[in-house]
Amino acid sequence: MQLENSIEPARLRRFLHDVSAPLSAVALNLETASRRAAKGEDPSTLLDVARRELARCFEIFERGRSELLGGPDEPR
Amino acid sequence: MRTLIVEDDASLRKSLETAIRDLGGEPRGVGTARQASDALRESAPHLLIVDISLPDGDGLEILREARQAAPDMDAIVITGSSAIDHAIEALRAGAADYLLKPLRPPQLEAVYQRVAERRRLELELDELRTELQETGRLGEMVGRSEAMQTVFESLRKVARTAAPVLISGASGSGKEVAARTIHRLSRRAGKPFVAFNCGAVSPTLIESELFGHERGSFTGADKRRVGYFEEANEGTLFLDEITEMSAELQVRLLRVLEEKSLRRVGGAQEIRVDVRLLSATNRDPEVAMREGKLREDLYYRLNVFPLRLPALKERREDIPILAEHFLREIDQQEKSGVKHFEPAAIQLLQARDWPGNVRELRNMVHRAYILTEGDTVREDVVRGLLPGAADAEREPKKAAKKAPPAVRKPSKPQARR
Repeated sequence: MQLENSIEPARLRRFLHDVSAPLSAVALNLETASRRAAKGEDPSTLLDVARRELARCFEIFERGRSELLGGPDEPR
Repeated sequence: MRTLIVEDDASLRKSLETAIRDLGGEPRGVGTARQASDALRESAPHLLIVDISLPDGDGLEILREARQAAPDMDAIVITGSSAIDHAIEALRAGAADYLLKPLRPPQLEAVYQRVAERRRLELELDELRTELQETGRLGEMVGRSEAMQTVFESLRKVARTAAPVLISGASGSGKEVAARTIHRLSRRAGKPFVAFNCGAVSPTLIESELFGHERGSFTGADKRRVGYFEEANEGTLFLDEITEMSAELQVRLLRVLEEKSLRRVGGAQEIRVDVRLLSATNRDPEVAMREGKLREDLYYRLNVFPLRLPALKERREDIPILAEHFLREIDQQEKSGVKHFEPAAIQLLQARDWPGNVRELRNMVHRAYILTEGDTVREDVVRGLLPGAADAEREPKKAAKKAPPAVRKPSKPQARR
């Protein structure tokens, strides 16, 4: 509880907003890839996009962790 | 369905375009409010998918602008905030639904399909309305009389709801046709329509016909059978002659309607069913209830929306249009080229009371069609077919000789899909 209370809500909202777009893209591309594969079509382009968007999620996650929790006054 | 996607994140926008294309839509994506305004004017989309938060504006403003220009356009709002205020604001602005980020593909698909299905039904309804205005028809129902216009109006309104409908009317007045039309105009149109005549099956069999049975549950049950309730799942079940059902079975039917689940005869498992029930009777439902033919609690459950079909003699002005309609329908099957009635033949048809109602009129038109040589049904042919009219002055012997034995329509199959 102490940890949650110490994070500024605005920064947390920003982080959630930023990560939600690539996360949505990953989910949509995986779903479409799975549908195409079931029809015997090549899903590799969609999988590439999903992989790229997943990398973006990681990047935003790492940056968010550092920004939200990594400051000198933040508990570790 | 032409779909405009307004989303500032380029990658998510592309992903949405791909997903919508896969769902059968025609997507176009833009990233700003300004581009959205231009695209709305250029492409007149059927569906707008818009993110609330855009770099140069508010997605809800775009939605309001779009709905003002095209009130029929559907919209889905995407929001990153789970605040209930946003959802309420989106729905007030006219959104059909809203989706929370991160987007879950099954939710997107469900919302998209719901909008697409509603759009399809509304288009069909518009076509039917036009058809009605032009030809006096609603689906398979025909009539320009005031009585039938009232029926059509009630039917259109109730079709869009999930309410149970109790249809009453004399035998042959078109109760099953009305039920089919309600199903066709409802959100369940793409799902099964199952019709079952409770009066055509022995009371002991009705239970297993309706609810199904497990193997070995009674003598002769050599395999498991799915009942009509399960067959109609997600669709519509039409129970004709509902008052012919035993009181015991009416209790069971009531329980299924209340609990939305059933047990097959001899079964232990509760099976969930989602069925819209339409029922019909040729008795006065209130009298049937007073006489104990229809349980009071079931009556109130079935009779959420009563629909009474007028007897044909109450709408004689519809007889010409009905007769012409049946003649066209029969000619499409038989292809003998009989296309018209003599005006005097129509007058004869209009003068009769038709105790068997529309069904009797159709049979009569069919018989007249068979006996007609040339392209026009003559007055003497009709006169010869009408009971009592054969004794009339004109060519009684000829007409009587020509008339085939009275053939009733074969009894209805127990269940029709």
